[in-house]
Amino acid sequence: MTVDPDRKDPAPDPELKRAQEERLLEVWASPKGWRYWSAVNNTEVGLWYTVTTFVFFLAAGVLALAMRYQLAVPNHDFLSQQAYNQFFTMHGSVMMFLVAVPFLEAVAIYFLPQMLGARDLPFPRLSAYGFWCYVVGGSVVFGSIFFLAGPDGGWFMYPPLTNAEHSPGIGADIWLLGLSFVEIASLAAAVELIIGVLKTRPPGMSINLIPLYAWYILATGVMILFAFPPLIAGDILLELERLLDWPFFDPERGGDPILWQHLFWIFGHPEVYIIFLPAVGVVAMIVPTFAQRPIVGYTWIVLAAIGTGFISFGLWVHHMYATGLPVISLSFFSAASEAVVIPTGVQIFAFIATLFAGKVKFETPMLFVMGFLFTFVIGGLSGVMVALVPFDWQVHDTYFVVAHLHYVLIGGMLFPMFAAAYYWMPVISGRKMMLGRPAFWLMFLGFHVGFFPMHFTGLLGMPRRVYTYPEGLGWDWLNLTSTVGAFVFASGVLLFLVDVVLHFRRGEKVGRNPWNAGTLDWMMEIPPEDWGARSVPIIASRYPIWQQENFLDDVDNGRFLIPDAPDMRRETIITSVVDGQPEQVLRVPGNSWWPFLAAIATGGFFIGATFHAWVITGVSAVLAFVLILCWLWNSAEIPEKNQRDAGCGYVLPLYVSGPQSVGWWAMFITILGDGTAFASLIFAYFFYWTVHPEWPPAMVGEPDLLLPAIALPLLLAAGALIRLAVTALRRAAIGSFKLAVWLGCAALIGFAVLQLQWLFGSGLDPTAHAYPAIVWTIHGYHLLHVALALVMGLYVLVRFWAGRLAPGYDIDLRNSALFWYFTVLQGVVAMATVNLFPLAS
Amino acid sequence: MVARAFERDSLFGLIAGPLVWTAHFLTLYVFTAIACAHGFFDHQVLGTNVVRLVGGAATLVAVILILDAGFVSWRRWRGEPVVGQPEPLPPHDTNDVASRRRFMAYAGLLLSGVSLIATVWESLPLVFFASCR
Repeated sequence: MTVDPDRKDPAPDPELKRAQEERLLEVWASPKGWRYWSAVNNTEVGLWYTVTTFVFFLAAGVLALAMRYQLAVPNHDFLSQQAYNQFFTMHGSVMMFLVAVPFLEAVAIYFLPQMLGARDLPFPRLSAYGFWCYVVGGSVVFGSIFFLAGPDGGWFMYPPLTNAEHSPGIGADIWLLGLSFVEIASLAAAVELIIGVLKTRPPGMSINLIPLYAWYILATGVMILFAFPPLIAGDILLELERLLDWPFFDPERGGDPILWQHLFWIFGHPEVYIIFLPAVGVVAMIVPTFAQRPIVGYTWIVLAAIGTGFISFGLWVHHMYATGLPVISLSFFSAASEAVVIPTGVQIFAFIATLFAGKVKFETPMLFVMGFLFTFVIGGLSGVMVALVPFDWQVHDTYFVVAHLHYVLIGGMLFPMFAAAYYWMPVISGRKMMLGRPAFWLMFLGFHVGFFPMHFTGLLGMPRRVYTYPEGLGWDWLNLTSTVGAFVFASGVLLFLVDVVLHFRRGEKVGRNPWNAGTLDWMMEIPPEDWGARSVPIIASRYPIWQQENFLDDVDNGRFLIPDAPDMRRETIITSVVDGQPEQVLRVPGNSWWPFLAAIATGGFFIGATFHAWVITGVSAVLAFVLILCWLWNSAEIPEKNQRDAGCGYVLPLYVSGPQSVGWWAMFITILGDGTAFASLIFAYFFYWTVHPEWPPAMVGEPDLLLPAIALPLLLAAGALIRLAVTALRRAAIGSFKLAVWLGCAALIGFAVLQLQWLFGSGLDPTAHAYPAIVWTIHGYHLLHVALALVMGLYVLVRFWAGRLAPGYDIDLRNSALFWYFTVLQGVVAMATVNLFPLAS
Repeated sequence: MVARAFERDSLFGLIAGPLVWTAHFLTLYVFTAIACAHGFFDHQVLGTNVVRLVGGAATLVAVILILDAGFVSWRRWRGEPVVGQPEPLPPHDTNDVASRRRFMAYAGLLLSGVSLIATVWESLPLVFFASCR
């Protein structure tokens, strides 16, 4: 697909152009007044998200300053031990869960559609829901510190310190439930971003032309999908232990605290790269702009993004070197930790090569990029050191590790993010910021003065997380230097804040594409219009603004796709995954209160559960359920016509279902994440098997196989019936369709009844031992899915009666069927594990 | 398998190497963990330690699979030389199918390379450690 280079550009009819622009503006306008908060457009949600993460960043930064002030001199009594414990736990948790990850999502929600020339991401309401969940959950988690009721077990919350006996009070519950809630928001964003990269690219943007940032976001999204669910599974287990006394981590009753460490770090290590990759993605956009040439080694950077994505999952045990695992196991993880250096290093070399090959303009964003390169490389080198088992044993839990992780995170994530702020701010405000250089130097020097000495404090033996220390150990002046550095760093951040405020009035006004960049994020008008892209461009190169003639003029004059909104609907183009061929004009949902209300209700559920206020919990759960159904009701509507002329010779369908539709992809990707959480529970079962000489324990009698033997065929029948329903509806055999769904629902109910009967009749007491506890959890998790599948089945029937589902318009049915298949598969695995494995072992 | 994936323009061809690495890594880790936990680490099979035997076999299979993936990618990347066509060197940044295929094959080749290094490193502990301690 190419743009004909010899074509004549007709001067646009000014009347038509104005009419088109008016229609587009009206359709994409954000509401005014208090209704503004019902907006779902990516530029609004992205901006709120970014600002909120920055507020949390400042708040967690203040906690850090308080801790540094406490440690400035020996035997200081500024903070009590209790307060200090809560401060470091909150600082770490907030920076990781409420700053770093949401910040990447915020920037991606704002800029990814722009970079892809899309009008919006495919599920704007899901983004809005994720944002409001994040605000509610994050505020509750952080708010607890004001009552000194916050969690105090460290950001990785190791049991037994965090079980009900050693951490009474609600601090740990706030952490577990509040952050699980925020993690769900992150998963929602991951689904949105993955589909965004795969399906909302502009026509012609085949997979070798994607902006590098999008590659990084794709890798990150997939990593979130496989990394967060193990932690959610861990949260469920630990909360069940705290709430119901199910002894998953209690060795006296068959549990094992190491299981938590596995689940936590299977999340926790990829997390570091989840934070890091999008930040490098930003660098990969900034470097070519300021070198004024295409990136060197595009494919090598793709290798870096994908390679890091994979290998980072093989590193989790390097946080557990001191737990007493066999040294040979540790060595595998040590080898992988060294191997991840290769892809990580490759991209650094690609950036340096690009800078060498181009003529570099050292504007402020570039300064922060240089800060990133310098700082991150040091952090990477100390990372190579701690990846070695014997070295790690020496510095484990000392300030050396604190130094290393701050070099990696501040170097690898924060400097690029400040670079991003200075780079993209003109898009938001139409002005350049002014105080970037002094702010950078304060941050850069402050950071190194603050954190470099910590390497030595650590080597001298100062442990992490002590609230004070005696004098005369050689730590005094090192700590004082660190404190001075921390405050200098903070003054740099403060100066940045001043700059942001001031530049709205005093900053140099700039026009479109002020840095002369080549990528689509600079296609936007300044200040940006609500429509995002005036017309969705046809792409033929990696840097269209540099490499495609007359590009911006074509975009502005609507010579590309969907330059108009004739039906007064929000629309964007959906393309194929590999070649970027146009497949559909997707009608994108507009502003709505449902996501906001659903998020509040979901929040009520989690907060109620934290405080054991079961009435609030129950009411909120029902409310959230109803609100989400209301929100869904208007989605997947049947269009008044089948096709729409998108321009440039493309006549595209408005409605597609099955693997072509974004809804199906969303379901599929969600299932991958959900399946990972379930796999983590199965992992827990087999983990216990490896640590117990006898599993199941002797206390469990002969397993009853009769009920499962009846239940399983019922479950399989449900899967077959929904398949039948799909084909029946396709053939317009309405009677068979309805009968199949009804029978399928009945089969699910029958299965659930039999399973519950088996569980209650088995005599397995989940508080007695980890074995019954994990059996109940696995089956319970599956039964929740059965219930959800049942709701989906009934929803499909109701949609049919309401005329919102019909032969040829079967998105809801296809998506529900996919979930049913997943539920069946999950059930088979659950029963094979729980009912058959004991026979084999 | 990798060749078929490339034929169908599937992204699977790109990540075949890393997928093999994943499988190899998990095999080694899980097998040694179980061997240590259940006390058969020092068991001798065919005159050699069972963990070394299984780990070695897994590594051999993995290396062959990755080499195969890399070789297929290499061939796809170079393609048949065509008179009058430019050399198939990066950056592969035009929007025609040939360029896009070359890019995918090249990325697959690079990923096979990094997977190969990681897999070989991963197997070194089998050589140097012979106990659960």
